[in-house]
Amino acid sequence: MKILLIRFCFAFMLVFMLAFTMPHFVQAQESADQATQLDVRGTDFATLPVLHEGRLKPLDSFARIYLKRFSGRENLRNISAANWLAVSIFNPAEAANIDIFRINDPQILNLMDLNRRESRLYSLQDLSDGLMKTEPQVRALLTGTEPNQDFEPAQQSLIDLHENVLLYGDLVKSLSMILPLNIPLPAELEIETTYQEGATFLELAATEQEFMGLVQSLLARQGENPDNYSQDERALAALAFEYNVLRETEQQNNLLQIIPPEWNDSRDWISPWQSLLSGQGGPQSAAYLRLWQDMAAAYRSQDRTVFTNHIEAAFSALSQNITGADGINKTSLQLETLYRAIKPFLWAEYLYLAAFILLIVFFIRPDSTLIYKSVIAVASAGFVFHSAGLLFRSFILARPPVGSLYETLLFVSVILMILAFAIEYFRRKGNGNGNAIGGALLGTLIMLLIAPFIAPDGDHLETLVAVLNTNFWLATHVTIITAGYAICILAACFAHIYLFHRARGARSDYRGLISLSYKTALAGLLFTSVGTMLGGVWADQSWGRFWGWDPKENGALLIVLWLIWLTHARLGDYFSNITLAASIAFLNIIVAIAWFGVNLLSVGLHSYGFIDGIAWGLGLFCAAEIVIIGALWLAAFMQKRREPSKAKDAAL
Amino acid sequence: MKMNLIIFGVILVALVAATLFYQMRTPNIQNKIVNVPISVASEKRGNLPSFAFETIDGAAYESGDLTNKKLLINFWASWCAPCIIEFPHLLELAKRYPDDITLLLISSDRTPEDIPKFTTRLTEAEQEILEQDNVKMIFDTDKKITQGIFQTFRLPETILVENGGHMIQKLVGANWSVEEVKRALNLSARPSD
Repeated sequence: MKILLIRFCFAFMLVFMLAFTMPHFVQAQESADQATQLDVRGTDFATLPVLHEGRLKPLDSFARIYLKRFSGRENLRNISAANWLAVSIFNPAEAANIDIFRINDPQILNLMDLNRRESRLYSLQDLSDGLMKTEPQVRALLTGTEPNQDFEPAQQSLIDLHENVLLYGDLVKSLSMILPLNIPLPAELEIETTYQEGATFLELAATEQEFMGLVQSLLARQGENPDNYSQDERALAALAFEYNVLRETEQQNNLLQIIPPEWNDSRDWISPWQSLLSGQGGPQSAAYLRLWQDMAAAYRSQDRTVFTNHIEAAFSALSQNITGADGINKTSLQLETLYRAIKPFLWAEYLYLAAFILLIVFFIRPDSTLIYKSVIAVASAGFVFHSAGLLFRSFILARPPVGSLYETLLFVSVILMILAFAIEYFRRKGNGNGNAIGGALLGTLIMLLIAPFIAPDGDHLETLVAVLNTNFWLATHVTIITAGYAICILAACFAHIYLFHRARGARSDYRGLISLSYKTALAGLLFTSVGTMLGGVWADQSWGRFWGWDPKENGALLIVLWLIWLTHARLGDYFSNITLAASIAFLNIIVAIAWFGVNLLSVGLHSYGFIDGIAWGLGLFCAAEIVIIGALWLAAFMQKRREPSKAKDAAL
Repeated sequence: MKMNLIIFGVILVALVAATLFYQMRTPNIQNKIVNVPISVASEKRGNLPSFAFETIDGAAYESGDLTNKKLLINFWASWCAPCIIEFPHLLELAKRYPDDITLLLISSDRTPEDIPKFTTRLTEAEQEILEQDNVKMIFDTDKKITQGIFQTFRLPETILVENGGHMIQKLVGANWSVEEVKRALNLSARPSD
């Protein structure tokens, strides 16, 4: 809260600076209308590496994450994320006119004297007056409040908006040391400048002593009242003000970490401002920043060839000359850009949905092999995207794709699909009955639809907490246990289908479904037991004990015990097929609790995947499943009770 | 059932194969950070960039001319208080190791005349050290070396360079000791110690 408040003090400064340089913005906008911005698509700009959330990622990913944070979208209607980032860091004056801040709340619009727009997006320039007007209100909200205090939705929206503007302020000033300050140079200050618009911070810094000497003599001569100054003297004062503000405030600006570390042994890259003002710069970072300076100049003069050449030079420098940049893998960066562009899981979702609709048609007309083959073909196409997405993630992150709850959903669903395809193929030698694929499609679709809610801030391809960052155990324990989840879910899906058909009056051994469901559950038992034991071995190595009754461990044990219990019931012939199916169907709830339940508790050593707000989702799911399974079991049971009486009637 | 077992077997084999693949492909990040030997850490730094300069005595050099000894590059200015605090320590090192160390003092003063204004206020012994062959004083016009090449914007900073021009460490500010520099540059103790 305190940090937020301190940052807030700078918000006013940002808005002040915005207002101060507004005439230049307007001027820039007019020129922008005459000439379009340089389009960075087709260049490698979007692939340049930046350290964000502990991982080197392409600028494209960085741009999408922040654009989504501000506007709710990864790309704007008329500008891509990479182009938006380029204009924001190379030409902030023009970026101030791009509508990126989403305001949904009518109260905020009223407070800021803004009219409602269909797009709900507003530019920094649109917001400047409203930000200044609401600044005291936000300051009052943040002062004197307890930590973690809940605000009213409108208050929270207002605070979020101000925070986003602050963040955007950091972003647009990321490279402000190599961009013109947009203040005309006073005649007495002789500096050779790169830009006609004025000197850059770096150019002024080289002559700081002379420059500040001039300011001191001005103050001694004319005093502190700007009304006494000539136009040239005002320019000098404004230049000194902006120079000092940058020097004092930007030391903390570490948003755009594009410079490899030169002196420290950590893998933390640094921002251009950090390289200048925190003593972390050196000859290599200076040379690399010069390449960015040339890139900015080429961008601003819209020289695409020179711009592209400097990007190539930057990659070349990273791979050859800069020692702190070892580990840069351009292919991985390009793959991530491609992954973001393709959105494989979205395509997989669409194709699975299409396959599911076709499957319903197939169930209505079960004799049509053409429809069945279409189902398999469309689902296979979805599977290609789905598995390609997982392969992309594995390659980009250099680890198995099971490091977070979000990833386990993607992984478990792909295992579901693999199992379903295999069962469909082997049960009927390529002419299956659609039950396996139907169950898997349903489960997969639900999981892919849930996935975005598990990662509400978007898919950041995040790095792992230290305990998970060992590929051997991630590839064994986590993959096996999550594969076990998948198999259990598939068994439960089969059990649901079986119960549904029994409720409609199907025979006891309807299409061998109960046997399939039971055998799948047995396979689930194998995977979950082996996975749980491997987890114990990992825990022994990491935490020094095999078993600690941690919530996640209890969850895994619960699945194993449930499966052992129903296996014994089946072997001892205690359960009818309907009750067995209902207990297997119940696996869905057990798995959901073991998989997600631990995150609701927020305790224990496995709580690294904690996510707010899934309690309702999980509760709803469990309640719905209890109702569905209970209803199906009851209906099937009633149906079964009617059957013998029919037979009896017939016998009579 | 037999087919299912085959499928599960295939999955298990795939998992083991994936494990081996990742093990071979990915270095263990944690171990790499913890176990970096000093020599490897040194190799991670860059080499001294090439630049030409002229001392205030008028002698011209290339940076490569100084790499036959260990090098201390100090960025300073006479108006910078911490620089003045650390100045005697730098001179002490130059005095103790005349055959091992070259001390390159790069001044960011406003004019070249500011340098003698400062040095004449030093003790006679310190002024004698400044006259040694292994001490070179530069006035950095327009901060081309300080800011342009070494990206030093806050004074003082000192860069330690091994024989052969290999940069090994940067000392930011004046909060360092002579012993620390001796250790970093592997300078042996002398009888005068």
